Amino acid sequence: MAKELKKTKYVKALFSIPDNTYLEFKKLVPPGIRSQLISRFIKKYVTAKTPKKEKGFWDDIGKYIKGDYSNEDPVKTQKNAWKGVINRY
Amino acid sequence: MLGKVLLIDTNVFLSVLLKQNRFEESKDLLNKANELNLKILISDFAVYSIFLLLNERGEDKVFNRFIQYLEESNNIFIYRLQPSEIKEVYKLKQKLDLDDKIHYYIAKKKKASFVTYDRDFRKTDLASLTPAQTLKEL
Repeated sequence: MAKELKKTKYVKALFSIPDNTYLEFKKLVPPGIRSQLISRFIKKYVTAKTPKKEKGFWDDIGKYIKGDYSNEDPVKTQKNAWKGVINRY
Repeated sequence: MLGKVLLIDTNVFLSVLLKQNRFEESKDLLNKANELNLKILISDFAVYSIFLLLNERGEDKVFNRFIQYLEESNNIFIYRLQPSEIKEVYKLKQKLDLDDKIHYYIAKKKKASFVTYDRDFRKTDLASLTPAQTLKEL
């Protein structure tokens, strides 16, 4: 393991996890079992098959839409998203 | 020049999920990013906004498919602000709405290329691109 850790590309891959994930891990997992947990995690996921990427999701999503929103402006829709919530409370 | 990471605004996702104005260019961008395995960030605030809007309109199937896709996708990541980051967003002086401030902060922090249709960002020092402009850069 030590030898591998000297290779920049391996270190980059290992530590390319988002900051949030790292901070949550540090907060929730006690120091004594961190390395043991990481070893188990690596063993499980490195040997796992890469999940197949869902192709055509963005092409297919249209068939699930019930309403017609073709004349709506997405920026206006976004700006109004929380107005209903604010008015309700 | 495009960064290694794209931060995509709520309105771009909405345009595809609700087939709104300019949905074709948003769809082309998301397909291309998926094909190139580009890292895409979406803020948790954006996910909740999409949740609200789809729920309000009864578009449950669209929402369920979208969430499932986020869960399975290996190039889209939800960015959740930590308390210290929320503090930083609160301190921002830019005249922007809350969700825009969040996106401004994340884009700056992660050095991400910010993709949006929102023109409000033109008033700031954050360079933003529309999906069509981003596609040209890919």
